[in-house]
Amino acid sequence: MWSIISFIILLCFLPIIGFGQKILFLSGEIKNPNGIPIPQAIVTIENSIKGTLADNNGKYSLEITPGQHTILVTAYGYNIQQEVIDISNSKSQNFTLQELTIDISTINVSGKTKSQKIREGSFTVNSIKIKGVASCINNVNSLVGRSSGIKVRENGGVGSDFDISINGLSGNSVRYFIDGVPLSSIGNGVSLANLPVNIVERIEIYKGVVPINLGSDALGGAINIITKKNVKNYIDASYGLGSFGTHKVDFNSQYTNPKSALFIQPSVGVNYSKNNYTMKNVEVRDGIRFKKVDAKRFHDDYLSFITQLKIGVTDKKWADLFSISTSYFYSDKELQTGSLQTWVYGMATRKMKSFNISGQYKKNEFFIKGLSVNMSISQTSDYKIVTDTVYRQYYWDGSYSQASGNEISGGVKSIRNIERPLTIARANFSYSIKNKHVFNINYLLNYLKNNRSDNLDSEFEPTKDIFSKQIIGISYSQQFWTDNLNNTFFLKDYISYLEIGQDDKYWITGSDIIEKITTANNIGYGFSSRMRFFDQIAIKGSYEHCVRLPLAREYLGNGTSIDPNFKLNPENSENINAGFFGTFHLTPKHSLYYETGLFYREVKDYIRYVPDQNEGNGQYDNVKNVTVKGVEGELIYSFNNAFQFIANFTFLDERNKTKYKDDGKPDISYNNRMPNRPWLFSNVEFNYRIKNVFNLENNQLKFSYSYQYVHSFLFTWEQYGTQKAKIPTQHVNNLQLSYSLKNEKYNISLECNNIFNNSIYDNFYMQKPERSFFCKLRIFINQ
Amino acid sequence: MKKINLYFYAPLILAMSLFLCSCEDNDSPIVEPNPLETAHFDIWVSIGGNGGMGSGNTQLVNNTKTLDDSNIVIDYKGSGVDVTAKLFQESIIKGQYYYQIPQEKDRFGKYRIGETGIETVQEVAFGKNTYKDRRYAHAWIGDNTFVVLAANGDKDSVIWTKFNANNMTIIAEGSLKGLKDTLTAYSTSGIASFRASDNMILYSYCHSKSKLRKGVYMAFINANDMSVVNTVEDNRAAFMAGTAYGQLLQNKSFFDTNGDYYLACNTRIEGAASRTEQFGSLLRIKSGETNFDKSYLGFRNASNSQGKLVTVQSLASRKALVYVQDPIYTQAAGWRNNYNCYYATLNLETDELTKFDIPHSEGTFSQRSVMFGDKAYIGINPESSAPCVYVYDVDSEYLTKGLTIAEGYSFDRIVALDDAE
Repeated sequence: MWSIISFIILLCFLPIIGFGQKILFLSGEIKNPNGIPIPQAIVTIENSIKGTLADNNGKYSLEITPGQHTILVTAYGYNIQQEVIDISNSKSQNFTLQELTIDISTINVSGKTKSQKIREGSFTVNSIKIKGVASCINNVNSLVGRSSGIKVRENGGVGSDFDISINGLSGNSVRYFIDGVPLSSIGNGVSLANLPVNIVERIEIYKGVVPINLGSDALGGAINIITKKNVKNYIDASYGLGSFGTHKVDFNSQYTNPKSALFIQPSVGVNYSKNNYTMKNVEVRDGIRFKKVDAKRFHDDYLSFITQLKIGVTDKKWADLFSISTSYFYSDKELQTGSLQTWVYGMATRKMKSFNISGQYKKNEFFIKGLSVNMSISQTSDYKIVTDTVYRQYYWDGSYSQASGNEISGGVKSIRNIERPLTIARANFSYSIKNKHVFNINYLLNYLKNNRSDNLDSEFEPTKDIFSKQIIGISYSQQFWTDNLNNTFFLKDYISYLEIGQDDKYWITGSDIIEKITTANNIGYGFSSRMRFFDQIAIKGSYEHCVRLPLAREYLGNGTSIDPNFKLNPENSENINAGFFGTFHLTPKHSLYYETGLFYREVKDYIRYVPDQNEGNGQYDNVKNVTVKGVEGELIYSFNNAFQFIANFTFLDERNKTKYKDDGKPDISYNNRMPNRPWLFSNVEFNYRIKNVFNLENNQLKFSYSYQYVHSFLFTWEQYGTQKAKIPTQHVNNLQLSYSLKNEKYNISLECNNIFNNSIYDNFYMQKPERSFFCKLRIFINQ
Repeated sequence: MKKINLYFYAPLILAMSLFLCSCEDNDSPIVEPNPLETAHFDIWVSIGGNGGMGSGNTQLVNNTKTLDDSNIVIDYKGSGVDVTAKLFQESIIKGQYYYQIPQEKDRFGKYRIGETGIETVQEVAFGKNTYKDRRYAHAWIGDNTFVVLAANGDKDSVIWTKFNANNMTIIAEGSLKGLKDTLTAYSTSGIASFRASDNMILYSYCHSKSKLRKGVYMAFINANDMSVVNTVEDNRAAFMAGTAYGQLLQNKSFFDTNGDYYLACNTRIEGAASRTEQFGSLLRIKSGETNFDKSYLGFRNASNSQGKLVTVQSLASRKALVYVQDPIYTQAAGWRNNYNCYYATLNLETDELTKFDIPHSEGTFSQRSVMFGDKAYIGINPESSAPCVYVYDVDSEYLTKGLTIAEGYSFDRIVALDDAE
């Protein structure tokens, strides 16, 4: 392990000697016609893969060889600027981009996309571009799940609970953000599964080490959803219809007043599904005995509704962006099972309502040159009602017998109210010196109350818990040799506060053995580095000593299937990533991108979800020491922008490394592979695009096939006992066909998931949907 | 014809018996058949902590013909049956079988754990009455009939169901009528035992809410028609040693050789920080009586009455085997710390407590002691050595070390079962 760290450190400080050819630099500023800098513009050399990205002040610097070149400059919302230059010495060249007057989606950006640029940064990150697939996909989750190193665990259909693991670390080790702000600020029930696809521009998946500007204590990584920006006026609307009574409606638009720079951005998303897919080979009553049948799920309807209105101004002297937004989220979920599919529910429901108001302020050149600020604050009222008011034992055919307790916990009838008001405040200051040295300081406050009461259970005493955390981070980034060497060093301080008010189910939650008020302070640190030798080969590595404070969901449960656990300790982890990547342009039409990486996580007090087979619920619990080692790789081959082949694989070796338990006794599961975790999985994807079919202009037909493989894994510790329950190897094949007209203004897509109707399961043997179909219609109109 | 045969053979059998008895007198000892020739022990362990009562840990079962051999070390690597996905540790056990509500939680089943896996002999769906997994009391009221009892969902009545254990069918079900108490809500399961001498089920219960527990009720139930014959209360103890899980995992009551019934009870220590800090006491109902014996209160001498009774079992010679959680005697750091439990014998006549000279143990959700033949097998999870079994010869009061379980497992339960035929 230390040899890898030493190697990475060495790379950061070793002087790199030139590459043999005379290197010149083209640099300058990119502005709009009003003289306002355009951040993140892409500057590339035609017929070359060389390019660079303008900084937040619109400044760029591009490495170039002597001779005549065509320079292309692109940015979202602006027309492409093309300039032929003859260069014999390093020179300055400014560009002024005109605002876009044609469909944004027709821009065919040569050179590197933003997604690719991010992938090639010093952090280990997947960047998924939504543009081009927004017309086809029906939720963000499914797209994320096809990415290398990522495993999405959904325990059912639309609206079901899910977890995402990144390089083996579980769902809650992963933090979710929307434009850098925690996703939970919109509402506790908002997730990748119900977020409107149309508002998303791209998704960044940080693996292991997370930049401090996200203000995160993510240990496994972070998913940052970047919403659409820059397109001035547009309407994006879609309707999808699928198997199991699934309907999805997304509407997203923006109007910008050119004089005042005031923008209004409303968005609405509705998801509904009956989720009545067939459960295979499940038991139902046969008189006084049982028989196995195939039965449809009968109590799994899900409805979610999210609406958001954002109003703000851009490009003002006093603010690059100032916005206020308000959102409302509602979901109504029928609960069909407990943690395992043998526990069938027929009446219990969970409703969630969230109302949020938030503000954001961004300014470059904040009082002094080079200083940027990005601040946001949000207040969310979050309300959940879990209704469990019948004493019934349901069976998979919908029949039931009277039971001696409620469906979820076996207790008395209950309408449980869980109110979780949440305050999130974030401030990020960044100071840049000549774009080569950037200092960053970030502060994040997350303050949550957990108020519980019950309308029916007279024995339940209302309780109030408080859980807050503050994360302060500072970082320093440096760039050398025209960004061929990029290093970032960072330090984080994690402060948590927990106040426990509840004491019911104390034998499960540990509320009777934990101090009522606890505070904790932990320090984390790390660095990341990327060195690019040629386009064909670059290496990157990162290290972080990370602390992850338990989530509210882990400490406080979810009010239904997850019990609180106040005994939880924060996770501590040593995260190391190392990898190399590059792009080969075999001919002008053929390109091959590859990336491979090794990762190592040494986690103390690893937080793991354990379904409690006795109580019917589950709970998060610590495993003292866990080591995750793994390797992942991805290959992307493209031909003439028409054919694409993507293949990735992930192998994880995730083992319990607790040699001795707290009492000094040996831990018998030492060195065993962690149960309930996929450890070998792979995705393969073929995409083929035909332009101008049927002799019509500006239309295209896309065909896509994807295959997902998950190797079989065990339900309990591997070495002990015989006749062990096992989740079998899974194969999932999906097909997709989409057709778009008028430069993707009108789109229709057809999708068939799990075409061979194979049995697929979540990590705890919960059956997932069988073969399904989905049709989506989308209109995208912009000015 | 049959009667004639019986009359013909009876004197012959009697004569042979006398002959055999006389052999004994002639210093030719009768070799008692080894009960283990047709029986075995199942040893339950868990990985990651105790397996019973609310834990979700991996549970493994291995069987052995003997617990006496100190040279045997049982390990579960690649052996034993992983029962986690199907069975709970909490079971009604008789003959070759485990009877329980399994993981599906919607049925009663009859199971046998063999060397290769779990055999589901028969399962029956709940009838009108349904029960929560692991939370019901039970009593065998015949060789092939058992009854289960528990509070209903609203906890305002006690429901019961009689099962035919042979074919796993429901014989009858209903709810107890005529309980005389002042409780507003019944404890989850209570504790049930069957007194064959007067065909009576002794069913003890208390208030469901721990803060309101101020005494123990005992209902005397006619096993034939399940009518409540009498209900009595004893408030010398606050509640039974088990209120929610019956005796599916732990023995909380027993009949002694006189037919007297003993019930383990506990009371929260005044001013204690946690409600789990309790002291124990033993209540008695004399043979044939339908009221508590107010002249008797057992287990009064243990560590200034601060030990909490975890399990109790009858030994011959008017003694009981008790398993006690007591941080004072064990000098553990406190109630929340491990290794604060000990085994002892309790003289039911003198209340004298004799602690075994064996290491203290951890684990209060376990039943590691079993009576078999004339021996008591006592399993412990000690601090400084591997889990093991001690063998206590009841007659000679001699204690020897038996088999060992490899370090690292939580030793939860020993079960004596008949071999499969």
